Amino acid sequence: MTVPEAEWLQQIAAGGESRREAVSALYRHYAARFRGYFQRCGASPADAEELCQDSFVRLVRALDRGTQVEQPRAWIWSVAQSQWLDWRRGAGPDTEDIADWEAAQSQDDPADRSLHLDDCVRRQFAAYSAAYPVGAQALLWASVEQFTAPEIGELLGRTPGATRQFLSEARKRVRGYLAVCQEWLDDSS
Amino acid sequence: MADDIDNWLDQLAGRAATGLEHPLDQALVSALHAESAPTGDDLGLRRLHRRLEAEGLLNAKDKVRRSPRWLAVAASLMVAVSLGWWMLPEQALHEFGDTPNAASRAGEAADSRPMSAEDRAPEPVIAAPAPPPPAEAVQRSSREPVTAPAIPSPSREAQAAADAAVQDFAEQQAMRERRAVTKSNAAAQSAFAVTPPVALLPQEAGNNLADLSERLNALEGVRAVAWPPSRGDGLQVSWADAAARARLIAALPPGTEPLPAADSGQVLLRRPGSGAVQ
Repeated sequence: MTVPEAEWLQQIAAGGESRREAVSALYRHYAARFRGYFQRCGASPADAEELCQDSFVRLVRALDRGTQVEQPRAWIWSVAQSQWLDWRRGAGPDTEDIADWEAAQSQDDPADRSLHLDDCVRRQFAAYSAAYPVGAQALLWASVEQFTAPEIGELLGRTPGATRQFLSEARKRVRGYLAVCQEWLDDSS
Repeated sequence: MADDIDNWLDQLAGRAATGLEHPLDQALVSALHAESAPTGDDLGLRRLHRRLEAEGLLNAKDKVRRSPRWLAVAASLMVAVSLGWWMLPEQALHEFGDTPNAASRAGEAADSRPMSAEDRAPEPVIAAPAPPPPAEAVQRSSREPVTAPAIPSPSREAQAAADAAVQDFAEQQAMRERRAVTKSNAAAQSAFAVTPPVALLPQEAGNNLADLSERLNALEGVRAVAWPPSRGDGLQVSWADAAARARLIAALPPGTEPLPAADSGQVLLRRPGSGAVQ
């Protein structure tokens, strides 16, 4: 099965007029994910936007130099990860205080009856993401990017076994955060 | 546990045959996809396009690959032409025209006579100045700016320095040639040199080879040295042309064995019973 990312990367590498279209497609597909990733890593929204732009420039530059890509999705994320690591080493993070963010998030009452189940889950996942950004990112990679445990482990710098352990704990924690949304399910049943 | 979490990951990714059982997990997947949903962020995309264009990365592949190749070829050619022009001064070009080159010298040497010691002197380097001029020529060149190198309008000090350099070079060249001749003679006398034919002197020629050597060396075109150098009981005699050969024959004691018929050549003169040649 050919993932669209592979085709986009080939078009970018080939250059010419198709590069613009492929960059656009890739940006529309990944920009929001990159911004979310950088924010979960601790960047402010403004920095996350800059990091997102820098990541795409870095990606195009690498392909222009002839970099060979075997696993398109994993490589795209490795570019974003490298961008984040370079930025953190260089300028120093001007990140928001996670504790403050968590406190702000927890001011919302998840049991507000005006909320829908999906809204509750989204808010609770945001709270979980603020407290455990790496775990949240791992869940996104697993669900949205459809990465396996070893692939997630490569991005996290962990062995497959340690990654499974980490994901197991993440599942346990996120379920704890989502437990408050159980009321909607009870009410509906 | 590994199977359990792998199965859960498969369910999250939609790879598993069975879907997520827990409703909250289903809601979680919806939330995850909603968070990562593509956005119509046209502002950010336009910004990215502008930035890629500014850095020459938008549609850049062809330009980037072609121009450096041609630039590199053009730059290499220019460097080669410049170096070739500046490293071959005008004076050297003129003198090169008057100086026999290595090929013509080799042709002369191989003309008809065997290689002599002088012929074994090192060949001049093509780009080097001509062989040392006589003292008069050197002095004249110091007075006449016409023979100056290609540098336009040199100062008096620069001219003097250049002349001194030419003279110095001439002396060094002469010394090198003397050294080469000496070395070549030594090589000719070495055990690996070709032994010339032997001609026996008559019995009544006496024992004084030194006198004979002195007599022969006085002849034009004839050269005689003691042979072998360690014992000195023979003479290695060489002659340059037919006239020199005739003079040599006339000067040898009567009854000396005939010399080789060549116009130029060499021979070992030995007294009878003085042992084998090396």
